[in-house]
Amino acid sequence: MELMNDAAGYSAPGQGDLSVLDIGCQLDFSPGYITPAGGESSAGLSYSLESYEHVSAAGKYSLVLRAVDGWAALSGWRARHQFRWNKTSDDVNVLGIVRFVLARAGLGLAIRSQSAAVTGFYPDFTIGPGDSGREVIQKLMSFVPDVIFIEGSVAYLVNPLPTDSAVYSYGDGHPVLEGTYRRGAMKTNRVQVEGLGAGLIMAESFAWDEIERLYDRLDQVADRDIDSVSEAQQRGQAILRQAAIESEGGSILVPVNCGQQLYDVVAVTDARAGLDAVRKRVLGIVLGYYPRRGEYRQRLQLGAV
Amino acid sequence: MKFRKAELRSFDSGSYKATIRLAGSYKVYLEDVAVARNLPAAEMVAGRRLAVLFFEDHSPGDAVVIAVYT
Repeated sequence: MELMNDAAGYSAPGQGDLSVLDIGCQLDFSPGYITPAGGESSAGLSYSLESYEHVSAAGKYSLVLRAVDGWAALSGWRARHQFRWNKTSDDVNVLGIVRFVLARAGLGLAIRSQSAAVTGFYPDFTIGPGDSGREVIQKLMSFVPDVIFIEGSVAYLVNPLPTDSAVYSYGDGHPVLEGTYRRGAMKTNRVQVEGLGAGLIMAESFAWDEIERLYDRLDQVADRDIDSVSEAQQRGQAILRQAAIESEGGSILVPVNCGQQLYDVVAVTDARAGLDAVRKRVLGIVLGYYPRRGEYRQRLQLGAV
Repeated sequence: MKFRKAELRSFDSGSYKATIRLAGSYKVYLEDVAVARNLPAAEMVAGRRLAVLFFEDHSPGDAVVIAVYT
C-alpha cells in the first residue's frame, strides 16, 4: 500500500498521532463503495505490517507499507520441538490437528462446510522440530478434499463440492471487463492408494470420462496411516477432485465485488466465449485500487466447480 | 522424503525399534521408530547419533533409522 506523503503527514510512523502505525500492527482493508446509503464496505481483510519505506524523490513523497496475511504468519511459525498425534489410538482427527497448528500462529478456524474425511481420518502424524506451520497445514490438507482460506485472523474450512450452487453472477448486471477461460485435461485421472491395515490395502479411483479421452494418467499414493478401504477411496477421490478443479483455469477482470470470497461458486456469462451462467469456482482474488489512475478492479482466478 | 539427525535414547533389540530425540526437539522423544536390520544391535548405544529417513515427512510409521555414528 502506498500512501501520499506530500505534506509529511506520515513522516514519523510509530510516534505521536501515528503511534499505532508500527511494525507488527494490524492493517484492516475494507473495500467498499459510496452508495445512496452512504459509505458501505466489507470487512474481513486484514494484514500485519512487515515493513515500511519512505520514498523521497523529485515530485514524489510517499510511504510504502508492506504487509502480510495469515499465510505468512503460518510460514513464520516453526515447531519448537516434535509433536505427535495418534501413535497408539485415534485421538485427534485431521481437523483437530489443523486447528492446533492454526492456533500456534494465532489463527482461529471456522467451518463453512466439511468432508467426512476431515473428521474421520486419524493419521499417526508428527511435526518435526523446525517444520513450518504452512507446510504442515498443506500436508494435512492433502489428506482430504477440503480447502482452507484465511481472512484476517480466521481460517475458513470449505469442502468444495461439484454440486455447489452459484452465489453470485458476473456478466449480466456485474460487467466482465476482460475474461480468459481455459479448459484442459486433468493431470491425474486414475489414482492407486496403498495403505496398511491388518494387511495390505489397495483402492483405485478413476475419472472415466478423462480416461476415455486421454488414456490413464496415474498417480500412486502409499500411506501406511490409511487402514481401511474406505479411507483409501476417500484419499483417491480427494486427489481426483483437486485435479478436476485445476483442469479448468482462466480469470475475469471485473469492477470490485466487495463481498467476493475465495472458493465461492459464481455464474459467469460471456457470450463471446460461449458462456451462459456457467458455474466457476473462485480460486484467487487480486484487488487493485489505484486512485491516480482511477482504477478499482478485481481479477478473479477461476477453476472448475 | 526427508533426512533428519537424531540422538538414540533407547533401543529394543526384540522389535528392532528405537526411541529417539530428533535434533532440535529438546526433551521430546519419538518412540517406536523402526531401525534398519543391517545395523548391529551392539552398536545401538544410547547417546549415539543417528541418521533417520522419513519416507513421508510427517509419518513416523514410515521412518527408519539408517545409520548410527560416533
